[in-house]
Amino acid sequence: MNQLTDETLLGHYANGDFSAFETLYLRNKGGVYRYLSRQVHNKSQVEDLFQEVWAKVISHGQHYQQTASFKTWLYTIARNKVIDHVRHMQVVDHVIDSSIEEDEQQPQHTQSKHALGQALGPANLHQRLLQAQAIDYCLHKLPIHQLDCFLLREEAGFTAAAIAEIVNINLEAAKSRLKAGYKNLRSCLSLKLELSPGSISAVMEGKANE
Amino acid sequence: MSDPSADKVLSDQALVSQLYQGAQQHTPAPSTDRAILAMAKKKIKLSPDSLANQPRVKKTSVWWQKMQYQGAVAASIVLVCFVALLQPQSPHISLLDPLPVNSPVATAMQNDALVSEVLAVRSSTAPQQAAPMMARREVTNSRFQAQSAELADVTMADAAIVNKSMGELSNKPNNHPKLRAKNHLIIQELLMIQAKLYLTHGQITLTAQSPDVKYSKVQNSLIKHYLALHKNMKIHLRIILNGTSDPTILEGYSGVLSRQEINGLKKNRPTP
Repeated sequence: MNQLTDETLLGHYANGDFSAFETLYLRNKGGVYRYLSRQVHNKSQVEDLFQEVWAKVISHGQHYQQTASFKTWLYTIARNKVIDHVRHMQVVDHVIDSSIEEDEQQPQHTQSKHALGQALGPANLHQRLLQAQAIDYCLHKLPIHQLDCFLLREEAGFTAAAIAEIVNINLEAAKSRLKAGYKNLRSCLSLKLELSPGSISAVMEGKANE
Repeated sequence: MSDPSADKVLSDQALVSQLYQGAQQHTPAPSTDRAILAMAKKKIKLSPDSLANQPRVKKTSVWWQKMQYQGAVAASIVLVCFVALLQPQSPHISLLDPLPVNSPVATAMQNDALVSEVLAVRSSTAPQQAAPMMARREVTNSRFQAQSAELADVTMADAAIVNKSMGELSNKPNNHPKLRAKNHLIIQELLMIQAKLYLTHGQITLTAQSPDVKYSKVQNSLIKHYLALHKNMKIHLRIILNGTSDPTILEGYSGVLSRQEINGLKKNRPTP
């Protein structure tokens, strides 16, 4: 089942094979969730959007036609959901109580910190936490168009051409956004983590050791 | 020689990508996973795979299938009309309807009808009542004899019928109006015979009782006929008087009954 492509799995699901959908979901749920959570910072809203995306996949899965890849279709749905959400929030002028969000998320962070600390050790854990905070901060500072393209690249592994198709822009614009996004992130992370050529190699080595 | 700027971009991308992938990643809550998987499972149950794969058969409806409903309605209407036409018309109750048989009004109406019917029969055979008395004298004897014979036959037949059913009638007070009607006819007949013979009831009775008086055959037959009718009339009258206490019943019989006869009937009349 794991060797099958997403499109084949969706076809099996359309024919009544529930395990095919399970495989498809486990394969794609992380990327879609992170794609949403990096753009919508309210956790409950992210959960809602995530469910809406998959509800659409479930309801329209039987009528899915393989004119585009499943991933392109999936992230197009997710992107449209984010756009709709942002527009809705602009109209409603919703004020997010960030302090409540932080309070809700704090115990989860503590638990995950504790679990990671046991797995990685105190030094690695501290380094990881710093990196995560820096990534969050820099992604938050990134312009929305660049963030969109960056997340599509990192989470789904799309090429510039696929990103251009999803975002509905031309290829050059997609490439330009990607390039600018990476550059801005690099600059931001350098400042936050005080990265140098030496530290970069250290990071790379750390990743390799894991 | 590779382009240093391109290498820098690639290294930037690789570094950022490494950092991003290495950072703590968010994942959906387990409850969200369960909800989505349950939704997918429910969708499968609601829409079986067979339905998803089966090619949709386009329903072809011919004209008679489209007209099924209208046809059924039209057939029902035709059937109802047909049954309504075949069914015999139910009695329509109105003021013109015949009254119940036992009601007094109905009985009286039946009597009237009976009287008119008998009069019609009589009118076809009896001589014209409105004819002047002098003209009747000129009627030949043979003709008068024939007519009298016919009258005698008819009235004797009536009397026979009455006598035959007398027992039944005497026990049925409701039939008295019929007897009254018959007596009414008999009285007319008797008065007619009296006129023909130029004799009163008392004279006819005396003539019958005295064998010395000689009359022609026609006159004798008329007297016989008169006496027979009179006898029947009296029988009817006794039955009528037996079932009622109305004192006015005997009023119409003054011309055909003597005072002695009336008194005798009154004496034999039972007390109410």
